[in-house]
Amino acid sequence: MKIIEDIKKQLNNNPDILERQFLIDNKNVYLLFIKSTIDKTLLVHSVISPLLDYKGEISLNILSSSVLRAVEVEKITKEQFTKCLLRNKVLLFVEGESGALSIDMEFFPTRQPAEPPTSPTIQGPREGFTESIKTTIALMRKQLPSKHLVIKSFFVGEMSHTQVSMFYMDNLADKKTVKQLEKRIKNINTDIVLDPHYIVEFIVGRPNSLFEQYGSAEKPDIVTAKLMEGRIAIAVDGSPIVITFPFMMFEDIQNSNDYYTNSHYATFIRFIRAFGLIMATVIPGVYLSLRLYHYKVVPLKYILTISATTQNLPFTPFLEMLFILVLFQILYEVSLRLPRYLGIATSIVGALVLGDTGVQAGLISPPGIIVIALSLIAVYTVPNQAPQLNIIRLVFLFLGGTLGLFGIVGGMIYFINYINSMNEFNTPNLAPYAPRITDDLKDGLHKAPMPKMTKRPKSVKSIDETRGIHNE
Amino acid sequence: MSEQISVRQTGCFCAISLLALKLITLPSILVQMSTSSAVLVASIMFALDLVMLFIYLKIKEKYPKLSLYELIKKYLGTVFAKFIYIIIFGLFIFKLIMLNNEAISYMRDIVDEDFKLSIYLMTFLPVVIAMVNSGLRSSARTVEFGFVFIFIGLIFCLFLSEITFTYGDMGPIFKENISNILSTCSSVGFWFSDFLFVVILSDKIKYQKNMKKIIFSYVIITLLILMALYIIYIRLFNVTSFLHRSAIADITQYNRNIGNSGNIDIIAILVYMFIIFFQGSIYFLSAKIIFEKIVGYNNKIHAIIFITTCILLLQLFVFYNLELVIDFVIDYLKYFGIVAWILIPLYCVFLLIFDKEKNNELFKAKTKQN
Repeated sequence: MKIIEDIKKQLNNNPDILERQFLIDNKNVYLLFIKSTIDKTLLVHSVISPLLDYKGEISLNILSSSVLRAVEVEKITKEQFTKCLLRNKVLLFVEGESGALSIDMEFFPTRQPAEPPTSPTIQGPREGFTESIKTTIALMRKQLPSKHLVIKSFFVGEMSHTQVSMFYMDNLADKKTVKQLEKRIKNINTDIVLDPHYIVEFIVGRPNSLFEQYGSAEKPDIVTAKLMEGRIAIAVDGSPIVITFPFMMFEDIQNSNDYYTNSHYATFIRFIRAFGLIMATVIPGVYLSLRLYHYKVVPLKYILTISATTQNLPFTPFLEMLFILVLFQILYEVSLRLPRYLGIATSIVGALVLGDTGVQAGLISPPGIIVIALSLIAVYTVPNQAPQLNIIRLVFLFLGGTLGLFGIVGGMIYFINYINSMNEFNTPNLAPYAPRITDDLKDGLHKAPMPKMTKRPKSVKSIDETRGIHNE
Repeated sequence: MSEQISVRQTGCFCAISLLALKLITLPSILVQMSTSSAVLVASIMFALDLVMLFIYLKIKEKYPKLSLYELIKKYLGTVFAKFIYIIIFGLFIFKLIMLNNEAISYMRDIVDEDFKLSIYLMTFLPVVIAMVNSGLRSSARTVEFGFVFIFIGLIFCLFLSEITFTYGDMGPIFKENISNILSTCSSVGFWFSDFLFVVILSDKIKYQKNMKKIIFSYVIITLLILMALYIIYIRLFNVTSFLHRSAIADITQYNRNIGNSGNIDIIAILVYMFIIFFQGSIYFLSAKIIFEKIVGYNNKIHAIIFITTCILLLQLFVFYNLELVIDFVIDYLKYFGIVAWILIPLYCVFLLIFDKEKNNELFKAKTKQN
């Protein structure tokens, strides 16, 4: 059949494109598919066997309505042939008819939903998304069996034609934000999309910004909770990460565990995370500025301890801190990339050989190591913010070393102001504290018990602000 | 529609303005000029400030969409409005210069004796300019966010200072004669009347029914803390107060109860540093808005360049130390300041009492525009 030859030619006559021919009722019927991406057993049971068993008149309409035992069958035109084939459909042609049937038989090796390594829970759902968007949609449907759930799909990427799905609740999400997001997704102009991070910079208002402008999650319970606040989620086929809009900084201080535990403990742990965030960014800079410029404010006993351990160091305090910081960062990067069985060896080399020997050799000081280690560990109280915190820490180290405490305070105000100026989708980034939204304080640093959270966050624009039975 | 700030954010602005120029040198200047009547002078000036704030908020209620410029223009014409705004612009620039000099002096006294003017300007100006450049709304949010830390810090300063206090320690309040008290009041006027920005930003403040209540609650609480700090300061240092030019730091540094646990004045240092940046941005933003009214067009970059140049020229070549600024303010600036703390409030009172045309053409036009 000429059209099949043409399609094969268009697809470079790749060996995994397979054609099957059957003669039924004196008419040729052709099946065309990519053999590596379809479920062959299903193909035999749903398409080939019924075709071989069928004895009547043949046409696409009859096959579609009375013969094929497939779930998803669609009649397509000539223009859609290649696109459907590349989307892993089985194409069925009947001699003498210009169109074809597109039958969904897609099958890829996928893993089962499991607890994601980035968001473990102690007491709570452990199910996580997988790389298949079908699983993502299924899990969302399972979590949210509501008539208000809207799923819109787009195909993005000139080459990859990756499925990007947008989830929102039509009775909650702000229509203007939905339209804006849809428009931005449709305007994405790129070759390939492998992960949400490929498209996120096309979507956000400030792609060059150091700070995150989107939330991310790997678990359906987290995404569902966000949708119920009027947010919009975007999933990309091939990635278990789902991104959400609009975003506020305090989302990263919250954790799904907070909702599966005592609210007092959740509040306590949120304060710890906020403290960790401050420690992670400013502690090395503050230590450096106190050591260099403001030693008067350090109690005498500490000054003596610090000066005793630092007096014979060959580096200036700033270079010493920078050296330790870079050293730790290298060790961290190595530990991420090395095979697991080499990790122990790296830890020994890093901690014992470089750290301990460095101190004994008089190259680095113990207080410096403690401060940097504390700062590096503290970053992971808010893991989503880790990349930017690592950069900001360096900035504060530089400010502390050159301008002292005044520079650090100035830097803090600069960054807070910068975050405040990012008003993506008209959502204040530091809400509920700047601007202060009293009702939203129930789920800010303090977490109120669930029955008291009767309102959705006002900082996220939503159609219906009250949680409860009247919504369904 | 132009950027607007909430009433709560205006309250934070007012509270910061109340603190900025009053925590470092003012207490010692008050004691120097009126000895034990310092608290009385401060109370009179604060009361006057509260009255002015009340008048300005009444004006906001009566003309929610108009700023001072349009209100002056209404009866006195554009030329006079621009003339008044030029004087107010000068006052805000001087307030910035005073803030800078107080901050530098404080840094040298308390934080680092080698603290340089260049370091200060290299830190202060970029941050404040970034805040002004990002707009009124994000600056207001930043101040609102930081205000919590300032407030908690001030409470700490209060409790970490000397809190055993008896009335007798204050000495006779009316030791000075009334003319001396009034003369001190007129000399230190520059350090007060900080609420003028309310009427300048008036059209950029979101109108809310209970705005007076919200703003006054911020102001009164801050004022109580401030008065408590003044009383503690005078109680602690008494006649030697004039030697302690960094009031907020000294009351925690020389604490007799917990002074042995280390130098706890770091809290005061951090609180004051935050205040410097926030107040600097409030002055700078006000100066920017005034500049735009004077030149008659809105251009952020031009305003920022002009104000920065003014600050740098005055700071580097004319008023390069605190004593020079204080002398200038006490000797000369009080006469120019009459516009800010007498004429404008009086004009506002005139508008409140005699201007019955609430729905005049100008008002309607501006309302439509917004």
